[in-house]
Amino acid sequence: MSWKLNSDRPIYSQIVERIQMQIVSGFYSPGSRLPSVRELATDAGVNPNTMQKAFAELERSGLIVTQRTSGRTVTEETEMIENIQKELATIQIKEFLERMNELGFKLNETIALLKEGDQL
Amino acid sequence: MLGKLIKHEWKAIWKFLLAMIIFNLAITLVGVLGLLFSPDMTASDPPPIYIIFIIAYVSTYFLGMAAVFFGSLIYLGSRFYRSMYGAEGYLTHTLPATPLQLITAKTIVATLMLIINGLLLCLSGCALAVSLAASLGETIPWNAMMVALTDPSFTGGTPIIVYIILYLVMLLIGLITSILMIYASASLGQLFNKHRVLGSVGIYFGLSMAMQITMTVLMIASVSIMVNLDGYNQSSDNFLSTFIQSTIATALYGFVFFIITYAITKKKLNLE
Amino acid sequence: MSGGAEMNNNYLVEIQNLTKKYADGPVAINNISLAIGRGRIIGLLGPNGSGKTTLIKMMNGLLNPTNGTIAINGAAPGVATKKRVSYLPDKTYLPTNLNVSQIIDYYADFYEDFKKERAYTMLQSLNISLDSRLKTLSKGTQEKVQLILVMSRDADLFILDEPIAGVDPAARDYILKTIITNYNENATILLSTHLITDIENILDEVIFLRHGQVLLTATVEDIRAKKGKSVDAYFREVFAC
Repeated sequence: MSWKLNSDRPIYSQIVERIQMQIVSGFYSPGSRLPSVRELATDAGVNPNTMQKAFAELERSGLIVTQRTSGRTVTEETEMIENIQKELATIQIKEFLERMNELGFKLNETIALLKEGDQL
Repeated sequence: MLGKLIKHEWKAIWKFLLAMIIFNLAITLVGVLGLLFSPDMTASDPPPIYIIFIIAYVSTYFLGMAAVFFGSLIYLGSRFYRSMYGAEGYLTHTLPATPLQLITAKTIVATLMLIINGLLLCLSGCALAVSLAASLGETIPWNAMMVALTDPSFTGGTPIIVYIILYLVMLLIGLITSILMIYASASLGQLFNKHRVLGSVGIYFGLSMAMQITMTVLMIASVSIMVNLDGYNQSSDNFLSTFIQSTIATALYGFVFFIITYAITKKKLNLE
Repeated sequence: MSGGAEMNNNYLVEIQNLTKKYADGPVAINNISLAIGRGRIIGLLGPNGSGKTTLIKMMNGLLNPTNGTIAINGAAPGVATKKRVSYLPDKTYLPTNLNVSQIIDYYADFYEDFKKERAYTMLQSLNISLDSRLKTLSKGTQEKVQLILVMSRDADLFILDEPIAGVDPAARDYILKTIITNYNENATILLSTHLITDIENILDEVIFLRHGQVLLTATVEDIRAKKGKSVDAYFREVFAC
């Protein structure tokens, strides 16, 4: 079970995050078919109902589309995907900058470090 | 369902039955061969070794047959206990079968096993009798025996064959009742929290004694009634009625044992 | 899932005012009422002596209640329910003189919903030979065989008493995967265990049992959301000595 799920908080939201990540990163490309609830549940080692709930939430957000003929697919609206990608990235950056701030770096110092880091 | 239970019960015990059959055949064969190849029995001085052989054989034979009989009872008892109240009970009692079906199937198979054993015993006896006759230079007067069995004038009343048939029925009922007595003992033992097996064995001897005493009392009572009524009438019909009385009593006991086993299995099951 | 007394034909199991008092004193189950829906994987959790095994035995018709009723698909425990309930006891209970192939035939003979192919496939994945005598298998392997037999049925209710306690971690994963794969929306799996961490991710709901009474029933996600901790952590908190 390589999903690394934390039992201290609701699992379904962790699953939603992970699938979001996989969609946003292109692991599941737009319009591609997703594995069945059962397959993913077995892979993740979670209750199929929990996986189902995660899927329902993703469908509600529009990231996943259910079609009668082709089952569950990733949305083809690349704009939505990009927006989410940006949102998630923004959250990461904010957290990163906050932590760098706690370490005592100002924004321009952080940027300089990043440029250096590229060459390491 | 009953058929399936019987089939699987049979599968579980047939190897033991086979062992008993082989033992029976072996011991009978020894006797038959010993008799057929014996030195002339009509001579006044049979060799002492032979006499020792005969004594040894006869005691082994009777001990062996008794061991087989009691061995079967013990085996049937332990099989019943294990499959109904041991760990295997978890398998037995979650099958989609009623307690009635479970008990009936086991009783039928156990009875069959004892009947087969009994038949073999008879055949063994016949084989030895024939061999003995042959070694003495005689043949068994089969025809005369048949006539004697069926002729009513022989005993002034009912022909002997009727008694024999009644005796066989009594034996059969007795067999089934002994099996049910084992089952009832195992079931009653299950009621204890500790030392269940010991409890079952103790109860078995208790029930056994109770039954013996009842039968004896019954026997004495019916004979004394006969004597009191019109002097001791040696009519074979009185003998017959005593016979029938004990058979009915045995059957009643069997019925009670069955009810006990059924009730405990249905209501008081408590697997460890 | 509620503790209410209302009978609802959509519930798989309905338990009303169930009590079990043993002859020599202890009240093992004390007036519990429960309703269990279909298509759920439910954890029956509680310390030793809480009454889990007693409750399970009564549901399987292996013990008679002192009071109250149990209804599975509307029927009291009996021949009809035994055809639809698949039970894994917490001990080795198979006749040891048989081999694996024979015990499969036995199950197939008595249970109409038994799927031989499923059993053969699972045995193969675990490298258990059909010819091995049960007597010669290790306790862990015997337990795996028992689980395979139970999971190869298309029952409405699976009752598993400590299915992973005696097995190594690799087999544990396999068993949990098997439970998930065999899951179907019409069947319910009731798992009784004390190894909560290992199984809590596959549970929908839990029932906490203490001293023969239902302490709480909840969905696992509710516990995580509202209590901010895993079911295992919450259990330890609730049952702290």
